[in-house]
Amino acid sequence: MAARIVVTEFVSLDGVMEAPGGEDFKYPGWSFEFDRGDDGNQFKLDETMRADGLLLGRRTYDSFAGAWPHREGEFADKFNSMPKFVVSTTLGEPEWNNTTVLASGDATAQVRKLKDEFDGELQVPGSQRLVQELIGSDLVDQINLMVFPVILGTGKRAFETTPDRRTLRLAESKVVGDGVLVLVYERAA
Amino acid sequence: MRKIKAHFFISLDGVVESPDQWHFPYFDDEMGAAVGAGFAGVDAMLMGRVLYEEWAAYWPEHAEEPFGDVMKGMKKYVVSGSLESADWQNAEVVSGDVAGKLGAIKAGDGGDIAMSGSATTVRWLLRNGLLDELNLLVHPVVVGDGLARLFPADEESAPLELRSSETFKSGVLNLSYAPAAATD
Repeated sequence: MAARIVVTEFVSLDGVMEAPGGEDFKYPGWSFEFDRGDDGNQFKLDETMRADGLLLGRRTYDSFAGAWPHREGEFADKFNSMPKFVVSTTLGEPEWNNTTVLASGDATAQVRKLKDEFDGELQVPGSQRLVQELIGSDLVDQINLMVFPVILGTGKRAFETTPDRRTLRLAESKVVGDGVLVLVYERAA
Repeated sequence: MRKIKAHFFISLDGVVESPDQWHFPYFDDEMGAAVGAGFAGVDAMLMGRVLYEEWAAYWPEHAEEPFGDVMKGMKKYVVSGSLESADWQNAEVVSGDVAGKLGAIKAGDGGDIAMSGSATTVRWLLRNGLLDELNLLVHPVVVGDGLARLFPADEESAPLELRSSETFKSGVLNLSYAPAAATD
């Protein structure tokens, strides 16, 4: 029994993943400017319904916990009900339903333990700093990307400079909506 | 109108520097065909000074290699503010009013103009509305290592259109983007 860790990001062609749905940024909500089509919406719905839990960094937790409890529908029901694990040393009592704080300073050790104990798919949306750490410690099993046809030119990237090379296997690729790419990469065998 | 078409080997994390360190495991027939197709209708190349100096030192000594003859005969435009002359056969320095001169070259007779590398020049062309195609062969590898990316931080934003996409058996993506047509 071990969890499968799936990072999922909206990125620009230059790899920027910051604030695709809003938040404070030079181009807040930039991903909404593109039509991802019915296929793209279906991909995100299927992806979300496949999740057994979310693993989040502090900032993404704050953003999600501030938005999802006030929403209704399939996505919101799923996000609000499934277990959430937040890597943070500063978050006290989380208010969002079914949230557990992983409070140790050693995120890798915490996530490794969770990965051993949790059964199912743990998705990691956003959570830029946490994702760098997970990639660095080779805890990521799959990376789902929705690549939008724009160079943003500024902002946090899904892949900051990592010390180690990671070879991947492209498991799925398709174009959805108006030139948006859906890419699924898995750890290379 | 002649088109300027840029081609890059690029990693999933956007690295274009030193493809010799990460590209070769992914070179196969499909990629060879894509690279060849990139030269269809092309009769000139455009490059920055750094790539020019690298190639001008390499190709005349390796004329017998595949592409050796092609490289020798091809017209080479070199964008540089510091290079005074280009001694490589059929090479011409473009300096001063580079945008105006390239605009005139594009409006003149001839085939399309290919670029292979020269990230700095490609970014400049994109900013100045002179780039027609951005073709990326995206390799399924996170290179890391601090090698240079095609788009480093603090660039201007540029909307694009995805014109075509193809997935190779190796997991390499063959993507062709064009600058999005201005809407205003």
